Amino acid sequence: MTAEQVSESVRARIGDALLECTPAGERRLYLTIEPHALADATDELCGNLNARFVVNSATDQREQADRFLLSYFFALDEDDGYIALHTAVPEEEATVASITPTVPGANWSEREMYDLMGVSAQGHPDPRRLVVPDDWPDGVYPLRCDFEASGKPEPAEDRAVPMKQPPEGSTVVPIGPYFPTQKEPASFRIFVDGETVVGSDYRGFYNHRGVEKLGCSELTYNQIPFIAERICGICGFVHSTVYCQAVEEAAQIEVPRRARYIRTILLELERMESHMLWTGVAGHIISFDTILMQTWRMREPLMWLCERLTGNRKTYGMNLVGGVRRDIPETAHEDILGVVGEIEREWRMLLSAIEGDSTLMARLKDVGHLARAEAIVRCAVGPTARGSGLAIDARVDHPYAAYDELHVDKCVESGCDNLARVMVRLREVLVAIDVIREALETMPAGPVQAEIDEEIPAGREGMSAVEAPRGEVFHWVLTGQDNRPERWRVRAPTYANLQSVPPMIAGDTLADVPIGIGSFDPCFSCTERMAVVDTRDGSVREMTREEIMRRD
Amino acid sequence: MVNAECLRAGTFAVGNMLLVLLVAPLLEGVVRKLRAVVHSRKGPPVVQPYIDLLKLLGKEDLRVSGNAALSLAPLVFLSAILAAAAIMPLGGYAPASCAGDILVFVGLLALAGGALAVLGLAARSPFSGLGASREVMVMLAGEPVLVLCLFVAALRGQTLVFAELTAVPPGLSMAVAAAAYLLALQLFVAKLPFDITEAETELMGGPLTELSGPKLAVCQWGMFAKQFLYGSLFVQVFMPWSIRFVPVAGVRVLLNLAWVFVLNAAIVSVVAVVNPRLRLDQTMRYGAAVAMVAALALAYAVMGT
Repeated sequence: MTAEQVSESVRARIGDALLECTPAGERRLYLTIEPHALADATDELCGNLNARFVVNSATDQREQADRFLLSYFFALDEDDGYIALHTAVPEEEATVASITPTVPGANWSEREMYDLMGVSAQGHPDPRRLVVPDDWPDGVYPLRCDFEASGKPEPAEDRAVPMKQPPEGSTVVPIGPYFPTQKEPASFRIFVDGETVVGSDYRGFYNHRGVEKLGCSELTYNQIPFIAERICGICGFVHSTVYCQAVEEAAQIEVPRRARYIRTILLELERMESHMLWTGVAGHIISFDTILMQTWRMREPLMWLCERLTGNRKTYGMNLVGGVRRDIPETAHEDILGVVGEIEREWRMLLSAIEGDSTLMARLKDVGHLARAEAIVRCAVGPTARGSGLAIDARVDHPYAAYDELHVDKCVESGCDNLARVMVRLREVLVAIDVIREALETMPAGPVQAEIDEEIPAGREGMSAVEAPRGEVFHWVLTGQDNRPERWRVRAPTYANLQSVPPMIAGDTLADVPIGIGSFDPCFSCTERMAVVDTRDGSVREMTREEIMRRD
Repeated sequence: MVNAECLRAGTFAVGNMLLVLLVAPLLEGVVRKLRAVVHSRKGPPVVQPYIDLLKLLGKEDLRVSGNAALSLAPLVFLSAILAAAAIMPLGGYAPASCAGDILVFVGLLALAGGALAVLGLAARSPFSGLGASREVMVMLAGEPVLVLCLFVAALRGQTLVFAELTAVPPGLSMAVAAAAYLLALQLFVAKLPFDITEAETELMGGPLTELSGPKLAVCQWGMFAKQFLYGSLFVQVFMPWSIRFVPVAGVRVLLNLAWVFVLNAAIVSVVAVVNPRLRLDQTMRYGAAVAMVAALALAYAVMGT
């Protein structure tokens, strides 16, 4: 499907409400529509053209144009394209129709849009607060330009904390506010009847760090890669890469081929680090500590390798807009090949040991079922989607860095269960090793950083996606004045995947919940920037802080 | 004369209890060390469990609720296990067997499990509550196997008295019962893949969640002792030939100790490091399957083989 066909299709559906249509190259399409046509346009894209909703964003443009710019992003995975749907609403009528009823995966995005920018989604099925703290005052929206980056509003008194009421006859088992096996802040309330899970509720974002706010108000283009890399402690390099790519796309900067190869190699090394770390954690969740100890032992030499290559075991700090800061010299090739070769040998042994372990299979097979259709409507990405038979992988579908010249095997499993997600990740470690070998072999000579002479002009847009270990990470940059973006939107894969938890754990036993949640490798720090929708019960009871204190 | 006999039996009973108390932490230390080796770790020194217990015993005795059951349950748990230790033979001689037979032994172990369940309920946390219900379920899965296996020996030896059970003639039924006992050993001692009662990553310690200090020490000590008892029971009843050839009682006790260590090292700790934790329903099914094996042994025993 070409950009032309997409815009024609949308025009046929919403007619004159399609105000503007700007293709940028073959792979990007920017559409501007009237706000009232949003639901129809979304339905046309997701319902008819099989587009996948990625995230949305709101930009405060009250000063320049007396409006909030609302942007909805979609991916066409089969046709290598990203679509941005822009619309605008004035401050007096800061509201737009909710698309969550047609695209359940938009649930959090729309709630976040209200929490941070004050633009509400009318008809949202669960309009509770998501991102801001429980005692955040009404009418204060931290992403608006008139809110200081260092601002600390007076906490609201006696604010009700809306929590879901457990179904009749069930017990609430709290997992959190520190998730016990991830050691990260996230609070699940699991409603159980005996040992069977009958529903769940989630409260997260305890540690929201306001990274987007910093990027749009305090930092400059070349400072952002370093804070972007700190969005996640396990797969940070994907964030700096995707940010740089979005800026490079907006400013039309041509990145030297060698820099693209170096980004690719580091991305794959990071994928190995992340999947190996996760395999250990998953083992620990089901108390198979031998897996934890052995995988982390195998992983250690990889960390040392990354330290030799970049100066850091993790958080490499290698990206800048236009390229990378350090070369990977020929002399390092042997070192890299040696380390990944040893890991490959041990990983194959681990793989066959895991496949032959019947007790392990009993814990993983047919548990944590996420049906393919459910994965689609909840907009799941990465191994979570691929474990449910959805063959999406940004490295192949939307090639970036040097992936257009390299061969990547998509690891897809059809089991839709914990085992399927485990196998996808285990196999991806081996694929990553193949990609690294091929990249080292074919890496061209040349500079690693583009010459950037001119200032980046304001008002340009760039969308970019990178296949992080956990799935597609997506950034959108709208360039602005003062050598910084006007708006920088981050969508980490866990943001999409966590919303798939309720259907995944419903009906399982309590013992399966930790590994169920663990099976999609949640990265709470990426998301801190999650409510699980109950599958049975929609009722919400409000509880005031006083009530909670009394309960204690 | 009767008094002298009682005094001697009493002394040995106390000796049994002390031996179990003193040696059980070392057994745990050895098991931890083995696990560390499989993990490619150095591991803590084998005396670490002693250090842990001493440290916990020296801590402040905190309470999560004013419940008397919470204070008493750990003591009942440890006492029941020590009483079981007093009536069982540790070297061919069962000191206080006048006070009870294998039925009392099984009852005492059930009492210990019940004490843990009460403890979990008394702590009134959802995790300890779920741990309590799991403890009861695990007992329901394991106890039938234990009872059936001991009945096989009782039927073969035509006795319920412990001291005489150590001289049961071998046979097919004893071999099958021994196999069933070994299959269920992991379940008896609640080690992986059956540590679902404590399930650190699900229930954060189950019934022990809310415990700290001396109460936690008492419970942990009881668990170490329980692991020792189940090992020792197997050596005494199903492989008496392995110690009976030694004429000196003291050496027999040491030999028994050695066998218990070997059994735990070769089976319990190895199985525990190569398995993930199973779910409750899977544990129950496993218990039922092993009980079938034990029932088969009983059928052979009835037939006299």
